[in-house]
Amino acid sequence: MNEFVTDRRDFLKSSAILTSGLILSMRLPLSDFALAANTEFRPNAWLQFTLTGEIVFILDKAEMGQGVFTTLASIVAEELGVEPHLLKIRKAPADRVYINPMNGIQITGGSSSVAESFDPLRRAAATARYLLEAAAAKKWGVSIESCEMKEDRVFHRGSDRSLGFSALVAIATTLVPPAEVQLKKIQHYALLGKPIIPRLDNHQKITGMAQFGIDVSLPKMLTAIIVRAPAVGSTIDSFDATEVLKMPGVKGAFRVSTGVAIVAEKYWQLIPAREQLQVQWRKDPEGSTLSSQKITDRFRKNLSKKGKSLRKEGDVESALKRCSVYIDAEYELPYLAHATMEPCNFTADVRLDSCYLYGPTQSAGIAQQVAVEMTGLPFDKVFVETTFLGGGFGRRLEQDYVKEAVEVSRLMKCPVKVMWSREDDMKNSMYRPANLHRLRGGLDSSGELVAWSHQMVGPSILSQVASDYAKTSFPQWLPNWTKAVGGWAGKKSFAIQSNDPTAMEGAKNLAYSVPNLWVDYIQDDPGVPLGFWRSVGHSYTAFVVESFVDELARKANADPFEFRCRFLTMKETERNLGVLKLVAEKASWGSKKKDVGRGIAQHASFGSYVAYAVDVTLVDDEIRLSRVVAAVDCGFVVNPDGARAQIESAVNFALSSILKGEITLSEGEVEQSNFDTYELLRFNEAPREVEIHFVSNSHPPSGLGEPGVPPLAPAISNALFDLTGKRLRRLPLRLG
Amino acid sequence: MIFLHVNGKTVELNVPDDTPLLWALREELKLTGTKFGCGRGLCGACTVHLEGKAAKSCVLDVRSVQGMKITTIEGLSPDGSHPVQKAWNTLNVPQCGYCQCGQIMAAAALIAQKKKPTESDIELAMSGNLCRCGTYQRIRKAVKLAANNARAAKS
Repeated sequence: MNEFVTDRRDFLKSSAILTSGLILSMRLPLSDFALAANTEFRPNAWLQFTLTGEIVFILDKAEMGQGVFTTLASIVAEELGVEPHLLKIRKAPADRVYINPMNGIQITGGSSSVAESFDPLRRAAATARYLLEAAAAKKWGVSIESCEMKEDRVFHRGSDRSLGFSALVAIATTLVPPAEVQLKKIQHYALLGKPIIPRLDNHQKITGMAQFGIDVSLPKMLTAIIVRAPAVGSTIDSFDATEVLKMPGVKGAFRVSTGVAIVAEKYWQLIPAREQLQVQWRKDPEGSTLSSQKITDRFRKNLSKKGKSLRKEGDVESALKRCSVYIDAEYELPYLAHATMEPCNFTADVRLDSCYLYGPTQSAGIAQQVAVEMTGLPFDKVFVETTFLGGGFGRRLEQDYVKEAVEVSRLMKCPVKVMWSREDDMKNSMYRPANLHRLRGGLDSSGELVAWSHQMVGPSILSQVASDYAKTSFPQWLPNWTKAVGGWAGKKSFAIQSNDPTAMEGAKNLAYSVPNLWVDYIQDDPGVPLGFWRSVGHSYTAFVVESFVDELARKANADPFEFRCRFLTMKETERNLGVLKLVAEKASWGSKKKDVGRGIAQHASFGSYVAYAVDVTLVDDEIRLSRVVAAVDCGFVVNPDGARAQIESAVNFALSSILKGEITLSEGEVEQSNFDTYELLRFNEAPREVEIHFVSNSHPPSGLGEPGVPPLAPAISNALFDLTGKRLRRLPLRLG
Repeated sequence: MIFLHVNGKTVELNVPDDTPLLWALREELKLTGTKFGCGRGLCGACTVHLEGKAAKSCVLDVRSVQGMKITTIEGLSPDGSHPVQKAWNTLNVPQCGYCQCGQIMAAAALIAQKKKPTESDIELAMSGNLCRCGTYQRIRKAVKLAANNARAAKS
């Protein structure tokens, strides 16, 4: 949590007065890109009040379905005392003032939006409200306490007087914001803590009016596709675009950094045009021989390497010798694609003195940085407009598709939208890493968990992608070459030091108490491009950890729920225990049904805690989830409907990687190309209902974008064992 | 020249015969509510109505749909007031929203044909539409709500 979040005890205290974070909340973005017309009063970077009585909320998080458009606006609406639908919502430009305190970059990700924005937005809105009420008080010569803002006017309680914004904004801008501002107490919330329905962007999305990146259209815009290398590491030897250039609408075909670009007026012209391109690829000797089997073999061989010790407590080897229950197990996870429903696309308009970027990005800040680097333009001449995202899941953190648009627009000297087909998107993505794990552990003769050794072999995301993030976090005034060196060094440091904190997150901070605990990371990268995939390291560590603890429980003939409870004894795992107990209660754990397997799992990630209890059956040898119960602890639930939607989302999203598709390689090429070969969960395969229960407590709000994903896979695998006696140590789960 | 009948209007397009209907709608008619997801009829994001029945516009070429009545999301209602759209709003179905126009078109075609769709009817009608954000549970409830409301409105 950042420095602005209140102490947990203070959160629900009766006097919720906080320091105003004056400096943060008073700064404004450098550009006027998102400035509404007739704006007269801009108390901070998130609120604008216009002469015509409009309240404009500047949303600095990317809306990708997680609901920030609604929930963040509602936080502001609560403190302003207005209905959320009255706010006009505009998307924030790329600007340092919107830096996410979690990592120093303007980014939407890491399940951080509500958690990090809660206090700053409350404060920003409460300050704005105070200033408008103070302006009215000054104008009438009355006390501030007797003035109350309602909707677009300020009323005087002692008389019938009221004033609209147009009469107040001029005064409000002259007033000094208070050092402390009183925030609404939780018991007075009109909106927050209750389901917020409907979402503020429903109407646009239901009528087809919502603009996604793929819908962007600019005057004189051309459209491009890029033909990229099919195999890892291949480069262009030569290409022949003679026939391509003869096709109707085609304006050019030329080499770019990532392949051969074909530019035309319309996408439908590019579909037949790309068939006419002839490319000779020069294969990379290592990359072009990559296969999933080779990768597995190579990982397995590297298990014997020492690697980097992440935890070393006690002596696992000695402890294992005295175990009466002992398991040595290998687990394996594949590469995964994000498969957002909207394929990659981005639009760039690179001019001589300015650059405009439009599209689905989770990080306007990094997009701005890469465009500055590529064009040589100053930051205040590079503008980023974030559209709605047709899915993010971490894919839209990456800049590969942004860079392509900037490059092609620059070469064509006009606005260009670079489109990716589904095949492009599937085969040339940046994947969730594959890895191999060896778990060894055991119980002594009295049934105590005494030894746990977890080794993982696999690549590090940050050792591939860190440079763009590093460069964006440096001061803007540093010259590009300095940042380039710094970025490269940052990336290299992860590669050399094996210290990517995401690699074994969820395994390193094991929730279970065990006196002899070793966690080792053997970094090994076969060369497949990597990216952050919803829940990142937790997406595989939870499967491994919660499967292994289940295996130990079963081998000791213990109930899996009770076994886990016995070893969740640390102060830091109180909330893990809390969700585990709640889910067991709500799912009536312990009752058995014929032909139904039951499984349980818990995992903490990104500040929140989730446990699942699931019922699994087999229908024609297919694994079916017949019941799923979730227990969730995310502190104060700001928007219960949005929170439910996040868990429903996580369940359906995770089921694809549990039961359906994976990314495999052969001769250096990704074998999957569309939804026939990389299957996603379909409507008829989804559980009819997801039962969700929230732990009620007074912790500050924590995120739910990702925490629902990790524990589902082990819960299902554990249930499958319960049903069939078969223990699957690989995802996707495949019987026979 | 291709003549298409879209949302109650006849339009003349100067595109090759084999242009996918999806791209004619999006790029020639600027009707961008119908989305591109896969290009091979596997995801349903491109679902429109052809003579009132759900059809995947990415695998239909414009020549084959000449003369047929085509409805896109923009033509389903003037203002989001179709029973399916209303149910989608009431139950807060959309998350990212990218697949939802296709989902709504598939659902609208279903309840036009079946006044009281069974679970099986719903699964058959909706399983061609993928949702990566995971709104399937709410879609199921919303289809039933829409069907009920449409029946109630008629009676």
